Amino acid sequence: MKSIKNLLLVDDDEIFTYLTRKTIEETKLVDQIKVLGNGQDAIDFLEEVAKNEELLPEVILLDINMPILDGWGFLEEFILLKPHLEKAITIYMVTTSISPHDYERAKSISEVSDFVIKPVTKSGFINMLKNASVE
Amino acid sequence: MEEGSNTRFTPGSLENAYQQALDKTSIVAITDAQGRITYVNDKFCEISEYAREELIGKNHNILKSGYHDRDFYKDLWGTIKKGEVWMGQIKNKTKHGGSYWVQTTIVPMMGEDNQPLQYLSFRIDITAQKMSEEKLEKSWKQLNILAENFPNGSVSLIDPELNLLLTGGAGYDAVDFAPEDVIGKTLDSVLSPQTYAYIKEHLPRILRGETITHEIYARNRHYMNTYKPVYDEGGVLYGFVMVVIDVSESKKASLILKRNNELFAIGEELAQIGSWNVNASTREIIFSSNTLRLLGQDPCRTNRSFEEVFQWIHPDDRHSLTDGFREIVSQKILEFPEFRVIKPDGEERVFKSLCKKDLSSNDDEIHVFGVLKDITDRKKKELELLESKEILSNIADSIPGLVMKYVEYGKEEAKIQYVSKGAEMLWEVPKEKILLDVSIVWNKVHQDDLPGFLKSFSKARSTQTVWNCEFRIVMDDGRVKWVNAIGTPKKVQGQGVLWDILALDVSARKLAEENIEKNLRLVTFQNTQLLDFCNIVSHNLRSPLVNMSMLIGFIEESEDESERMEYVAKLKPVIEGLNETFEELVESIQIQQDNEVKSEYIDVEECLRKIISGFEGQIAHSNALIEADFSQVPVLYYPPKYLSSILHNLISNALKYHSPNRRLKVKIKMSRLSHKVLLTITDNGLGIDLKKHQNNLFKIRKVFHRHPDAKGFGLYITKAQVDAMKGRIWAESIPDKGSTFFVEFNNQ
Repeated sequence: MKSIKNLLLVDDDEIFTYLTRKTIEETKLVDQIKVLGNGQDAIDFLEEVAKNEELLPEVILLDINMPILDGWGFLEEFILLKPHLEKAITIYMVTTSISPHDYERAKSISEVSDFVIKPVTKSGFINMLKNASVE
Repeated sequence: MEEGSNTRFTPGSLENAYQQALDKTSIVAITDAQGRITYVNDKFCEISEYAREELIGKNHNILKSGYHDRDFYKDLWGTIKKGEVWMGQIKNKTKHGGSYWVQTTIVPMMGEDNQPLQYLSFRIDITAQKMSEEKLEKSWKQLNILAENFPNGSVSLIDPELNLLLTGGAGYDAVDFAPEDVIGKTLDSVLSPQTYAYIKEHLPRILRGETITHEIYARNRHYMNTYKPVYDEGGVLYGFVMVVIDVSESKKASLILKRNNELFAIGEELAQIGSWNVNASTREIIFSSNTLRLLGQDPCRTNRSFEEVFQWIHPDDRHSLTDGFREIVSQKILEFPEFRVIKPDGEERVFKSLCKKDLSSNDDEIHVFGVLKDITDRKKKELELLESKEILSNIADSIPGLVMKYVEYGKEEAKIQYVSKGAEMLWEVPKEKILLDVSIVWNKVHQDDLPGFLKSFSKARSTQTVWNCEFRIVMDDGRVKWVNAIGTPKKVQGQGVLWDILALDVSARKLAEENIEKNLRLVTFQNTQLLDFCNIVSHNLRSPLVNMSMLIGFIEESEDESERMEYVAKLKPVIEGLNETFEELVESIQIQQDNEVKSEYIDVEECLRKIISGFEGQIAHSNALIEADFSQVPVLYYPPKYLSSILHNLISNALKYHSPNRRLKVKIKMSRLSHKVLLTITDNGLGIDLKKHQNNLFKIRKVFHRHPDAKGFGLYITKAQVDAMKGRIWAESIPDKGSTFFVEFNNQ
């Protein structure tokens, strides 16, 4: 199986990012995991590496509820940025939200591949990553 | 020879007797060969009015009347000189200039030398006979003159054998022969075969004494021939008179008259009118056929008596008609009141009649000409129209609203044609007042609704489309009613704009709509709160729970004790965070549920002073400048706890998010807007990108700055407090320029 070079985790919850990084590392499916605490930082990062295929992530795990720029705000900016990116990126929304309103909203955005509700188990991550590498 | 009539008869002599007889019956004279009178008898003297001695020895030509010409005497003398007897009629002259006719026989008495010795003449008085002959001739001449001068035709006298005895007249101008050419001829050679045949056929009747007339058409002209028998003095049939009159002109005139009458009748029929005229002297009314048809009477019997006609009229209407008729004195047109006629089949029809005294009328005889029209159907239609109008008006009146029809002339002028009863109830103005002045209707329109009202109204007028407008009207006592009006404008040539307007009271509906709107706002608000709650549960509550469950999972799976301790240590801040969030939520729910919170009159400046004293350290640290202007609103009626919380949070934010590049300035102001008070807090701090954060500004745990103290807590509680008091909170901001927060306090 082809391994993922770069994965970007966008979430402000330090406990969650710590535990997620640990879990993903255990799957050995990803080479590099980068964690950013809000949407704005993530956009800034993507703009910076837009032309750099080496550093661009193949997968983004995106939280909704974040300071400064939340997940929805990130997606709006991402849509504008996407044509300038050297690589196709698979985005999973990973959130604590159980609101059907959030779910429907995520479904309506084609850039979002799936809507995953926390907590995510190790096998859950494996499924996500496998699907992403197939895409 | 004896003289006179009393000459005695001498018996015994035949010669004497013969002479005496002659003497008694004839006028006798004897002349010598030269014509000298030698003997006359008494009768001669008597007729010539001469005495015997005046005649004897005189030449016979003393009696010459000059009537006869020379040839006459030449013939006479030639005859008797030869010794032959001459016979003839001679006109002689009397002594006194009169004349007389004598039938004369002259016998010459010859000598031995065969020469006449003397002449013996015997005469018989034929004056009377001659006179009547002359008279007859004269009358015949006169008849001829009469006949010749017969104008416009001819007159002829014909004997029973059909010989033309006399004829003449202007009619001969048209033919190529003269009357004298045909006199004495039989009719068959003069007349056309048809006419001749007709006369032959009818001759027995004519001769029996009948006068017969027939019309013939010849040479493009119409003639009327009349045949009438004539008798002589003794009553003996003499023949018959044929009078031929050219009737072409009168025929033409009568044809025109006939045609005119026909046209008149057609006209009457088409117009469905009838005509009649009255002959007052015969007490008759003469009707045209169409009139009789309209009245249901026999159209052929045109002349009817007053009494008969009177019976046709409905008994109740008879008097008004006769009364009307008496008024015909002048030449004015008289209009009878409408009257009903009962037709023979029982049908009742309504008629209208006009009449006028005929110009030929005089004091003794009044002629009246009138026309008549059946107006039953028209009346019926009028009645139906009136009924339908009444029905419509009843319907309109039963509408609990204003139904109005009016015409706008020019800009300011308008005239109401109709306004319903319902208008009185809705507009609370008597109908009569509205009818007088339409502006009463529009003057009641609420000031605030007037611009929209006028705009839509004039638009509908100019585009000729339906006008629909909802507006308020203000009653005299200040009550307000909501009205929905629909109007259709129609441009009428030369009249202006005709409006049909219907306006209904929709106050009840408006009230219901307002309630619905209020409820909708409430539901929307509650729905937003529910969504907020869902968000809070999803993020603010589930997040720490997810972390806890994941950490527990890791702790369970971990075999390394130090690793486990590390996970347990991470649990602590998660639980603390959860607790904090939980407490915030409880507080906000308390605000929402706090029905007990009481408003008080608050000295705003005093309240602000207390809050500022709490921030003294921060203000001193950042060297912030705080200005407050409560001149307009020194006292606010509000829950003191909420006001200090709102001021505290907003000032805290301004202090917290100040720009490191400039000295912080905060302006606090309260201004009054009728029943509301607006609080504005303006700073020149970092500002917020409202394009991104508008929706989340007042939500729990939303943070927009990378500030270590940013918790996303203050604005959520602030909004909860403002909402609880039915106020509004919003913000304007430009990133890195500053923010202004607005709080609107109600019921001040």
